[in-house]
Amino acid sequence: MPGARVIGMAMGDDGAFHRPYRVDIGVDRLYIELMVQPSHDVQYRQPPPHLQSHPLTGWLKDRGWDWFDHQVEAASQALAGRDVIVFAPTGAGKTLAGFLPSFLDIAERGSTGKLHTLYISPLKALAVDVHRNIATPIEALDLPVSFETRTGDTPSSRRQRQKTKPPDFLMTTPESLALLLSYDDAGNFFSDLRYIIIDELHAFFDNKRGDLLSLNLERLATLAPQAGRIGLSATIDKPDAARDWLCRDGGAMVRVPQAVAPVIDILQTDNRIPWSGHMARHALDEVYAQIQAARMSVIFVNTRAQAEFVFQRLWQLNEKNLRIAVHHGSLERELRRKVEAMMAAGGLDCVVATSSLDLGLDWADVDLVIQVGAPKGVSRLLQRVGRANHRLDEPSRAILVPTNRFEYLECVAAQAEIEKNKLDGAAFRRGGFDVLAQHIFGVACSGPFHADDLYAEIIRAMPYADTTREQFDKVLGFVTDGGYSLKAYPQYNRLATLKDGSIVLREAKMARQYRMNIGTIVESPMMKVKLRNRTLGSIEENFVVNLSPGDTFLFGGQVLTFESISNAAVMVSKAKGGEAQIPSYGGGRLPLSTNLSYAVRNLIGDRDAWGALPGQIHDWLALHDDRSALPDEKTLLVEIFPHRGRHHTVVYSFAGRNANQTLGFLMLRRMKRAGLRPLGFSMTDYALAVWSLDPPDEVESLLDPDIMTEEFEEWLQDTPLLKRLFRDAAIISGLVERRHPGQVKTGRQILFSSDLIYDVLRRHEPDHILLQAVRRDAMQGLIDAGRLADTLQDIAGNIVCRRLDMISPMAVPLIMQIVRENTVRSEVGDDLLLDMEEEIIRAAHVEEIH
Amino acid sequence: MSRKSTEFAGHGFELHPSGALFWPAESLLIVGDLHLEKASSYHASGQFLPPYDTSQTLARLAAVLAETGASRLLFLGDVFHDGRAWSRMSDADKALLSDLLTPVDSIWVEGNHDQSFVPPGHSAVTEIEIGGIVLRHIMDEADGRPEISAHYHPAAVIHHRGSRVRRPCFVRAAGRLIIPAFGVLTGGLDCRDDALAALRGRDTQLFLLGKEDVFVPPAGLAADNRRSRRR
Repeated sequence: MPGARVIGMAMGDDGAFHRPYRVDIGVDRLYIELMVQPSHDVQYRQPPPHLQSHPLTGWLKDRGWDWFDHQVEAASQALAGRDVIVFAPTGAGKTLAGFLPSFLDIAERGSTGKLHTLYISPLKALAVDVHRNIATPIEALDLPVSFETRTGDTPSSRRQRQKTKPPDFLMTTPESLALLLSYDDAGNFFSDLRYIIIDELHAFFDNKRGDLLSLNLERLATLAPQAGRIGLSATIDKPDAARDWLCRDGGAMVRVPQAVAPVIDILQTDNRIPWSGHMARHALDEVYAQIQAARMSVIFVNTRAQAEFVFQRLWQLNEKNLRIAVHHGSLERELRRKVEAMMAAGGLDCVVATSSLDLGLDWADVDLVIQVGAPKGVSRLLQRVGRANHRLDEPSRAILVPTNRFEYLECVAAQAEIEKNKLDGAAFRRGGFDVLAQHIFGVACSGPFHADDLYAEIIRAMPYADTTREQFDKVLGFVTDGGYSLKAYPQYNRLATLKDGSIVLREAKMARQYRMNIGTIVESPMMKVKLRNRTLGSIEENFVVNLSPGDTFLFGGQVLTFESISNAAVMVSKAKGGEAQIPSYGGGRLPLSTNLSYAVRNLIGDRDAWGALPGQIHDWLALHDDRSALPDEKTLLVEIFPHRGRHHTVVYSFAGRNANQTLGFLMLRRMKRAGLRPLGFSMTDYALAVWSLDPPDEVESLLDPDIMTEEFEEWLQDTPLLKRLFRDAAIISGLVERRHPGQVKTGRQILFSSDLIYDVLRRHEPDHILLQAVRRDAMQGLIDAGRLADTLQDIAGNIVCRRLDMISPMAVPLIMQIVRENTVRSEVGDDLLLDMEEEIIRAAHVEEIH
Repeated sequence: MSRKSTEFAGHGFELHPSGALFWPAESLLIVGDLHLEKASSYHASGQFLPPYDTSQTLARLAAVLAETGASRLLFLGDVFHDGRAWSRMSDADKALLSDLLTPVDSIWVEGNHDQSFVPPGHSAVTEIEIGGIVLRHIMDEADGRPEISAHYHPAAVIHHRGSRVRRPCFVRAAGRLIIPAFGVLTGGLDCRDDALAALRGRDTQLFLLGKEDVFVPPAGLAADNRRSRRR
């Protein structure tokens, strides 16, 4: 074995290393897959004999490459019958690490004409990309392995054929897996399965999608006990918990160390950084200069609205005619595919993208990653940065572009965290009962089952390990007939019990309804956007409801004029130009990791650390200190000030958006009881602002952590948080059907609102399993609140309260957000209406006097 | 609960936060769009909505009757969600309804959903005139007489101090009065919808339902949100 040697770089006659001239894109991609580290960090070891003799090894060696240690290690574990997780940073050859056992096994065993390996990724685009990745060696070597992709985008004719003539390797998503498991031939379809590869495993631990996946994995374990599990994960701070989540007994972990730390700069701008807002208006000409100088760049943004905005503005600046594209989830599949293909082929100079392009996608030529808007977490940033620059001797390069002053601080904190090698916390959750309900119905669709057996199966899934038999039976009851103790309509039951005790679908056609409603992602209701006959994408119904004919908005990079609604689609025409209202999307708002928000607070509170900050940030903080006070580690800053006829109470908790939301609901309730007539609140990751008709006399009682635990249950019942969670649970559990974009409304009006259903259920059956499910969900979200309560406990007695005559510098972003968001709080609506009447009366009196 | 008084077609009415309309001079309570057994109507399609809406709606009606002391009750259509609702109704709910109806004289105006169903012992009319006002389920623009109708489940969004509030409401305009839906699971149609174009105007008055009160915004209803926005 040669000594330290640069991998994969051909040496030219002049003795210099040249990047191989690209004739075949696939080759480069595999090249990226294998290389990530300078040679001195790479470990080689002699691959075992069966690997040495595999055509893949020869093929690699022909290119001057070799197997990584972790790839060989992972394969050995898997082939020895252990479930294994590989923890690696982006691009460390994870895909091949995942597939190596499959390649080796199928070479030995041969194809059986049934499914051999299932690859699951959270993202459709990733599944497609991995498909491209493994195509290369398979085709180059003419290996006798068939491989296909199956996602929501796959045409139904191909999906049909995949069921009857499955490929050896299938790349798919969790939702498609659930669908496959719901067919009555599922047992047969999966009977020869050997390996299940789960990519981006860390993306599943803390959400309902992961709940469903883990239930489906146990289903597969019943249908194909011989199939081994291979998890590919980013590095997280709780690897043992990850192993518990995925692996059965004797699971193995393979860790790949981070090679070279990436270089992350913050864009230094001569322009004024805004106080609030999320559009990088001030910095885009400098961003343009950066992408011009790079070969190919990816600009990551956090929301679709930002993607639209940045894309449009860059084109306005695009005097060099760079090929710039945009990519986000609301665009039509065709448009997205085109962009992905063009990127892979090197046909683009820059792509502006949201997390729709996140997660594991690798492209040959990206040498610069720009992150617009704060990255919200270290792991996410590292993931995105890993996209850039695959020149061997240089680390990945990224530039952060904060869009407002708070974000600037966030970027500084993120840089520091990366340097200290701090990882984001991974959160694990208990499985949702609504997801369990969906799963049980899916099992019923595939055939008869016994309750005892199914219960034994689902508790093997870690999120459901502590589910009691009673809870399971209640969920089963819910799936059968709604689970209402006071009333039933047995003629409509969905499940029936046979004489032998097995449970079946009462009518086979119900399976169709199930398949239309699979999934744990609940979008806001969307409507198709149509330009004459062409569908451009989907847009949120809430946004459309506020439009009048003639209004213009930005979508897919063009300014469009709203014409009308026809057949539940939004009809538009091309606008003649001018300012546009940008579409607002409900989703896509990423919460900040708690570590990062506290790091920001500490940065603010530590004047000695300000030296590194640009002048305008420094001045802004100093101004705030002068007018009010600086938040810091030991105290909790609360400000009270009037603004636009209302009183604002701002709490700088730095506890993250979720915890601040919880705190907001709590404060709303307490202020109401105190007779302060609160109207609403808004929050960011840093602070919470409640506005009310009367200012509080003191804040200690509003923030008392003890009361928080006492009235918790009571408060939980009252809070609109539960209604919001109930809406999702109602759809996921199958209580109500999803509304699909473009589904024409029936003759009946708006069918029903989940809020009304919640009220009726709560009044008549407060212990209904779905309400239990929702309370459980709320508690989990409130774990953050628990942390908040601890914080409040710690600083109890250390509240710094400032009564100001006017809004403070640091409160500006929050108040501006309130104005923009215009949040509706119906539970305090009556107070608002009363005030409206009083105002009219006052106005009327004034009129009378004059 | 407190009611708001208003005048319509020369008579005094009281608007109740539940969506009921009380006519003191006639001792008449008017309710519409109860949509009883709406939840159970979805069970056939596998959507098991909690089937407690009927009892909750009837309990609400009994409470308003007691509060107002009305001796006459007029149902302004769509009492039942569909033609089979009665067969789905539980005996307990039928008894509730029967108890409620016993002490009052009831008038049943046909709706469009209920397929003209009325409980045994009662009969339906398509419309009725009382005190010079015609009462029917769906507004008839061709009829020039003062009219009280239902059907549209009207709702409105009010902007105030930078916040929005959406509530079901009564709508009074151009000699017509439309009552909101009384049923607990009924949704609402925004007043700006084209279906209610006939009611737009400077003198249009909305009455929004609150928990305990009825609220009256300034008069006037325009086609789009921006012009009717208040700061």
